[in-house]
Amino acid sequence: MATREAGKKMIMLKSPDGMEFEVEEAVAMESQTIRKMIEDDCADTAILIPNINSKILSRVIEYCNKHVPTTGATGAAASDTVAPAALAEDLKIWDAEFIKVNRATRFNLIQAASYLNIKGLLDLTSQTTIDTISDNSLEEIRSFLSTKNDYLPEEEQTIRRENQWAFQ
Amino acid sequence: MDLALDVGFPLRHCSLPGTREGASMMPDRRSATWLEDLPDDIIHKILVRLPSKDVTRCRAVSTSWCIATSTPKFMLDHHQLQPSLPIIDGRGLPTSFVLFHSAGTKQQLWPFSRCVKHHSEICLHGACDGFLVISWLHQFYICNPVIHTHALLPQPHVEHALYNTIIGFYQHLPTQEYRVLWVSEPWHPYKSSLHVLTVGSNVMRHISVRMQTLSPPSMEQEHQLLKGLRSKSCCPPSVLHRGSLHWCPYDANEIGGHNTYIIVFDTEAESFRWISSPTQLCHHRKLFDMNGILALWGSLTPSLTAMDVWAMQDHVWSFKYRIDVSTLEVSRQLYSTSCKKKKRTPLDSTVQWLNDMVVLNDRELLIMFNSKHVMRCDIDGNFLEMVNIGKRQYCMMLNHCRLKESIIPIPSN
Repeated sequence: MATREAGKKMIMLKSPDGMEFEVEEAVAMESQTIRKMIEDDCADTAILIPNINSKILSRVIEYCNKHVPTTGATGAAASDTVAPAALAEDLKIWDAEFIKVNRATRFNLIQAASYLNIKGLLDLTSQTTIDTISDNSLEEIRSFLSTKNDYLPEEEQTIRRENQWAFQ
Repeated sequence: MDLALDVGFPLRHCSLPGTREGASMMPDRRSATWLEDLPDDIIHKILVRLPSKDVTRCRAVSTSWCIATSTPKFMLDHHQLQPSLPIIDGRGLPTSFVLFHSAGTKQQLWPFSRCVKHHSEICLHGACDGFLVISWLHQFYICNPVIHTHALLPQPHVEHALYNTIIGFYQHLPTQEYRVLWVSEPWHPYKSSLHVLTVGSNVMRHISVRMQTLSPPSMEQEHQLLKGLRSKSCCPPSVLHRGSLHWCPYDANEIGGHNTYIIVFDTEAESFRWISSPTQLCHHRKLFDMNGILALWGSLTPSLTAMDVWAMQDHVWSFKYRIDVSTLEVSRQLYSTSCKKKKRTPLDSTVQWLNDMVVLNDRELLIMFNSKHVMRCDIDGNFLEMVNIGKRQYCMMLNHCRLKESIIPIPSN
């Protein structure tokens, strides 16, 4: 149920495995999907987030808590004494720590970010996969991301030959 | 009562892997361990962020990746995520064309660095999205430097033609076709003609010169206009803005307009019209694209010691900012003394006037201040760095063409 605490509107998020998370409305609204629901006035009661289990949902909420503008992780008003550049730097370090998760968690976070439409989280989680593709050979990409090579050897050679510049 | 989110797309697209449709309420035991476990739309969102080179490499990973990254939608989405970047022309001395990224990194454009023997003869005539139009040894080519492809452009066949010049390269918005606007000039006086080529179709159309509001121009006026548009000494190359080509002649009187007027070619109606420009700017006027807004810079006085930047918003020109040599040079000196103590500034790297300028992003500019030096500064006149595109670089010019990378192939039949 939506409750009020210290003048802040709270929203209840429920995961399909039965866990409930009470979060500030501003934090929940980091998700454009939830924001739209709240703005359309259909979120008076608890919101069930289908398909995102409690483990992933709690991490998503952790991310939103950290990234919600004007309020810090504790829900206190943002400190005016911290320079925006220092704040951005702090967030960057926090993000780097946050994303140190195993592949399965990362892919689940990607899915959750995409579904809940949280751009920052999607950028952050996708970047690791992008880096994997950019930094590795085709064989490594296939093994890291588990993609089956269904080309005939000569087909793959043709693609490589026709796009030689990309493989140099 | 609980309220489930309206997912807006088929449920399986948001259900966790390992759960079946309708069973998404079940606690999840298996999860997406591999990229391929993710729904197609999420894979699309990830792959579309890859640099062009990596997209191309991806196509050799598997057939499904190849298909996913080769659809027109994928290639267009990928293109739209790329920034529009200015091109520095090194005139082949020794580097030719270099793409300048906001972060300060530079990237040599294919194939210009490879044509060692003749690179100084390569001319860049226009850019639109991810395509460039260049000429080399009297032939014209459309080129996608990112995917290393080029195709010969047919030229107008006009009897007794002396030469053909490209005066515009644009996308015809209703058909999405890329088109080239040619002026063909024959030996015979007063017979310049205007032609439109659709890239990939080889169809060349001769079009008559029409003015939107005035009566049709006489043959002499038509010739005067076309000759002006194709002549570099008469007006700088066209600037494409919202489906129209814009030229700002050095002296509009020479081609049949008022002193400070700008001539516009509407690529849909295929007709010309004149529009006004800030009358204060009388000298060294040049049009450019300022992050999607039509802008003009120029000087109040014949000496180029300060340049004013104006932008057209809601059909009205308004003053934006001024870049002044004196403040710029002061900030530059402060920078160089704090960086390299005691090192003297060579005479040719002092800023005496401003020759040319392009916009890097909302805040930053590239300014050319002689044929050898380009610097990066911000719009408040603070010097940021000297641009270096390679050792022993002899010459650096700014080119008003911008490239917005794409992996879209050159249109063909």
